[in-house]
Amino acid sequence: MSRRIASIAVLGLLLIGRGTQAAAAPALLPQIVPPRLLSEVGKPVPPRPLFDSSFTASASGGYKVKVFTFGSAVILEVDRRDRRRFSAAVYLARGVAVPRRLQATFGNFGKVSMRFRPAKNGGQSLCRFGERLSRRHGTYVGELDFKGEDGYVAIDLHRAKGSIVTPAGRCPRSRHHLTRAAAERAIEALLEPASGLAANARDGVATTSFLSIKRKTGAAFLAFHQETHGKLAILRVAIVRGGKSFHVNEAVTTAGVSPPPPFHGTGRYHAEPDGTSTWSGPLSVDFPGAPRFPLTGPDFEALIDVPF
Amino acid sequence: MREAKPLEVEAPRPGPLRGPDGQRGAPRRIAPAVPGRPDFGSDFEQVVDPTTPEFRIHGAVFVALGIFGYARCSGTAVRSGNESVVFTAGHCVNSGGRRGRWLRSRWAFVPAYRYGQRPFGIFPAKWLDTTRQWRASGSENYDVAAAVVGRNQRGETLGEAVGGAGIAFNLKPKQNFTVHGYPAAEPFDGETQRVCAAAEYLGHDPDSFLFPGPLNLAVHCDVTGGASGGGWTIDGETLDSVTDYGYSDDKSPDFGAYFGKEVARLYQRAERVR
Repeated sequence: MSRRIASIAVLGLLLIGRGTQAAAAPALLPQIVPPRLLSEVGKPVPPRPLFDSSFTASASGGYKVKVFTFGSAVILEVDRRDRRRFSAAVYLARGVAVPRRLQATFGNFGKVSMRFRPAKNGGQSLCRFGERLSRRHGTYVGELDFKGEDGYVAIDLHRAKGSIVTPAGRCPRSRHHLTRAAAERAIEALLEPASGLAANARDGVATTSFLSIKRKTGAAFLAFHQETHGKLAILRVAIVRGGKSFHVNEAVTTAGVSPPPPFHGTGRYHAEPDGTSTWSGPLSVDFPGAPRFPLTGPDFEALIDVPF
Repeated sequence: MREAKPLEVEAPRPGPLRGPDGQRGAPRRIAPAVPGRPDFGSDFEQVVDPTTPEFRIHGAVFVALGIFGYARCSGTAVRSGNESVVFTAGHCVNSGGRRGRWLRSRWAFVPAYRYGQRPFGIFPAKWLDTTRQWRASGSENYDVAAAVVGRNQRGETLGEAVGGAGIAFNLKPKQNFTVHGYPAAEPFDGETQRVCAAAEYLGHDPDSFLFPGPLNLAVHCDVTGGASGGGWTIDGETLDSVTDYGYSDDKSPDFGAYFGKEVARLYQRAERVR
């Protein structure tokens, strides 16, 4: 996955992990994490890029649009976030992904064709996770014309400030050294028990996942959907922290959840004595470009995990 | 394959070197699958008689791992000048990427394998190669390999023994495929050839966009470990992809590499081996 997409996925897991610890409960993790995310385990990692070309611009609807490269893809991400909520639509296309040029067509939604012009004094050196990076600031010039599904976001620009980041060796160890206390705190957080309710559906190469995590420190909800249309892949994600977590009966046979916006409605879990379960109700989520996206139905496989 | 396990290790199952019913399989027209018996509710149906011409070009791949038994994959015999080319998945011969390890030791193709029976004998590999990009990047979009095998115990070439599928390159992704393979991971046991007939092209894996190479192909077929490298044929007996991987959820499609220029180069290299 791209670093950005990975960051979205990982953000979800971190969100869970930070306040929750899904990552921690070994028995819980494989069950509650959407299979789409778990499936990454053991797969080859996409080639590490030798550069990271990107620019960001404000767009209509309060969204930010970021265009960047990863691996063999040119990626356009539309996102909106605040302290507790994050939602994004990520469009992946094949195109020209070289350090000073970003070029791709995003199906019927639009296209990008931009060239990088470095600023005269735009160089900067920084450290990230023990790696020294060289960032070159400048301006992308060309054309970005993109209009999302039903015009939920539109952007038409010809210049944008951006950068190219390239690896430049390693940083001194001291800069990224975890203290023992910090490491212990991280492990403790991971081992804190959590409850999880997950529902996953697949239709061909399209997958949809809903995840509700309950921890002592609060609740978190994540919805994820991915699909491909010809030579365009679209990933959508919505994450929210806070609100009232799912409630489950003592026998762990029924549960319900009503997450805060951008989610709507209620999802209801019901387990039968034979081990089968149903996941129903009017639960939906507003993804960027896909409002009221249904998160329940007969295609979903739901499961719940509540520690003793 | 499923859960991205490239190879499934199986205990060795020595079996008699004879065909089903005690004799070498003569060409017979038998229904490819068992109608009305969808075992495990799977669409990966058991081939009744793998020795018939349309199925005997497909076989099981065994890679001896010493005390660890055998790794299992699937493969398909392909028509070629040397009559000895087998196509399979890249990870069935090399783990991929710059640090990829070769599985050169005791790699063998057993066409029409069934319950330990080897009706056409065993064809040990004498040459293995993958696409250059599979070795360079480990990109699953290039997860294809070819083997050139030696003669069987009767001194026959692979082509003489079972024939071979045609092979096609640079076709449109949208095809109706027939997926073959020897799934060994549960609920299967790797002892029978299986086939998903008329598996429609579903699209590309979104992950495929991030890796170098042509976007891969998805079809619906309940593959599990061991089916890696199984041939995807079109129009009867033309090979147009091989099984590469699936995800851990039950409804996951089967993903295979697109046969483009790089696979064509691999075929040319294999065909030149004498």
